[in-house]
Amino acid sequence: MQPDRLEELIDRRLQALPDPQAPATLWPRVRVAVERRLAQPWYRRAWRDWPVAQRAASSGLVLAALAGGLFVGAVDPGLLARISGLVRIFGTSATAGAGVLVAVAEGLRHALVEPLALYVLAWAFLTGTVVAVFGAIFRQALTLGHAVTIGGASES
Amino acid sequence: MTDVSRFEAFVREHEDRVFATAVRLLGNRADAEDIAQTVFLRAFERFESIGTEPSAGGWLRTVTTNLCLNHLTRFRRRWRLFSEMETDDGGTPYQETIPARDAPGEEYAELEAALHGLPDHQRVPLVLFHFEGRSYREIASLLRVSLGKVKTDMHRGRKALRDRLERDDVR
Repeated sequence: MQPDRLEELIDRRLQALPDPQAPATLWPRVRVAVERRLAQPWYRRAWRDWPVAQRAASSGLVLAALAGGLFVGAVDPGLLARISGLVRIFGTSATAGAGVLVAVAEGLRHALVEPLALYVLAWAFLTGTVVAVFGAIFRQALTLGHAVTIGGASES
Repeated sequence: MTDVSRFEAFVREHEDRVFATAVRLLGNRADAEDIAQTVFLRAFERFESIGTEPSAGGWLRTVTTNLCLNHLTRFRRRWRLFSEMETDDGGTPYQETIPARDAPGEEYAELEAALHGLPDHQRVPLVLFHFEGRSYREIASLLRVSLGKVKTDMHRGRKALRDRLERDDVR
């Protein structure tokens, strides 16, 4: 028998088969697993399963931290100078080697950190936002698009 | 949180299809029930988004297929299913008679048993092709074997099924 005819014959016979029935124990097992999952405290579940209030609070915290970083960088650029002042005090009372390290750190601060701090913070915020949004869209597409991607035409 | 009774209706609607896919791929009812439980637990975790979607059935079948293939890869004769080595057709198939539900005649039960009697490397691609609608190329990609091996194994599996059917017809 030609492979094509054999494929057709077997396909016809297999397609006519009724689905085997799921065992009666399946749902009780699933229910127990679900109830065990529901009994877990909220902080042990995936973030998307947290109660709305906790999700809102955690989102608010993250946003506040990002906004705080941006605010400090934009409104109070002297903060870095104050921190480096503390470092300088430490440097004067430390050994000469430590003093050299502080000098190098200060040089780096003047040359790199201060001019770039605001841009780095803004970049981190924007990148984080874009990645989070993209991730959410991608996960949604994966979840709902699976059925579309399977089941292409067969070769013969 | 998801309403459990609503989720039960969802499980009841899809359980036979999920279980059928799993038991045909694995050839074992106990493993298939474990896989079906895992599938529905995952469905529960995202029930808010898939529960009312018409694509839920497709999602469930995809997850079932992937979990079954992972299971076969991890726990069963990996060398046998995924190897390019030639294997004898007789082999030592994973035999288990699966009673067909509401079979109008013995033929359904015989064919189902014959399918489950095939060795993994023949049964799995046949199930993916004839029940799950996957193409030869997709199957080769899923099983990580060459297209030629998939076609050869499936042809041998079909011949074994046909021989079984012909023997039954003669009786």
